[in-house]
Amino acid sequence: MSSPMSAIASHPNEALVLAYAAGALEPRLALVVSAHLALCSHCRALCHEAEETGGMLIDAMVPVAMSDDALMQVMARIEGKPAATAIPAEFDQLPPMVRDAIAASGKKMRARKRGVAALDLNGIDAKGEGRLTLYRIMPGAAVPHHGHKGSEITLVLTGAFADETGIYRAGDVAVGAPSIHHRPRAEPGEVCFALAYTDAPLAFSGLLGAVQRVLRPFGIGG
Amino acid sequence: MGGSAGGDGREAMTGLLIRVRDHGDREAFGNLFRFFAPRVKSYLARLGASAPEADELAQDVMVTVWQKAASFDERQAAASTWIFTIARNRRIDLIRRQRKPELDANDPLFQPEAEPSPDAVAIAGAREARLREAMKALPQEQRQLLQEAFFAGRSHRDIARDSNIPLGTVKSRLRLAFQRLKSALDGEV
Ligand SMILES: [Zn+2]
Repeated sequence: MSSPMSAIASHPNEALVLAYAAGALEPRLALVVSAHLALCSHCRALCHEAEETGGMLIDAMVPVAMSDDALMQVMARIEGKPAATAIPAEFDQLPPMVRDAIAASGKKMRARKRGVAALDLNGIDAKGEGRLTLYRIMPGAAVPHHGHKGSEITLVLTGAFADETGIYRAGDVAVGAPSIHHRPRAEPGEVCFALAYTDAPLAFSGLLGAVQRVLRPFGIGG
Repeated sequence: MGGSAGGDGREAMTGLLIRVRDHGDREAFGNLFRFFAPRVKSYLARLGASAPEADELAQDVMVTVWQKAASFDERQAAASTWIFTIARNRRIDLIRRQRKPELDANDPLFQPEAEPSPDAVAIAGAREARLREAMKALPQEQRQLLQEAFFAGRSHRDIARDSNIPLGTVKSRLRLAFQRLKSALDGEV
């Protein structure tokens, strides 16, 4: 049976999912991939296969003795109360790892223009390779026409947006090459939250170059 | 001991994690710690962390294991898979300040174990031995890809470019390696 998840039309490249599973992606791109996995059972299954192998590798590691008081230290930390950071209720519908990243960033949504707000998720690593931004686009609102110096990968978390290249719904990954100038507009109805990762111009020859908009013929018997 | 019961080590660890999740069982957690912390430390050290740093990170991972135990679902993953993902996530945070470690052609993970590690949990021994055997039995190209993907922090794209083989081949070789390791373990039940 087709689950609601099979409505996802565009997925990250398998190489990106496998690189994430092995722990080879930089943190902000890893967040985009893991948020996609939270929404996509297809890619989750692929990722799980690699993670199982990771589990086997951990099992088979030659143990390195921990420091003498390590367990004591850990038990002491466990007894302490973890400080939970509250974040606004509007984020309740987002995948847990995205909420965690918002809480860790300590940042707030800032209005960019009418109907569009953005939250900077670059944290302490702002000078690193890429930029990660959470957008909130009100129904019908549009992000100003823009291009990028690097490549951009955008994951829709809720709602949907459309641009010159097509329509993207929750779970879909849209990839824009540096040459693309586009003007994403949220579809009517639901607020659109989306994570956008833009890599630096030089980084494009690397991982994002491996990402394509892949259309898989789910439900077409293909 | 327990040469015929290699799957028990994995199930025993999963059972311990369930006790931590359902009952906040500190004794079960201690046993999990004694098995996994030294292996997670080993994994993180392999990735380029210094010994003190790897120790601290392995402690972080075990604290997270306790804190996130409620989200563990044994129908979806064995304890080792789940703990790997926590260690992996911790490692992702490290990537930006870490140099890429050199690969060791004589990596002990892919060699037969010379002497039993003192703190190894006995019932897990057969499983580990079988895993190492399975890894050694992998074709060289698959073994090398596993090492590069999991321990050198290199993307498949980088691997493909450096080895001058197509990206699709990297993916298919890796998945073949996954399947071989898995069937080597499934055969033991
Ligand atoms: Zn997917």
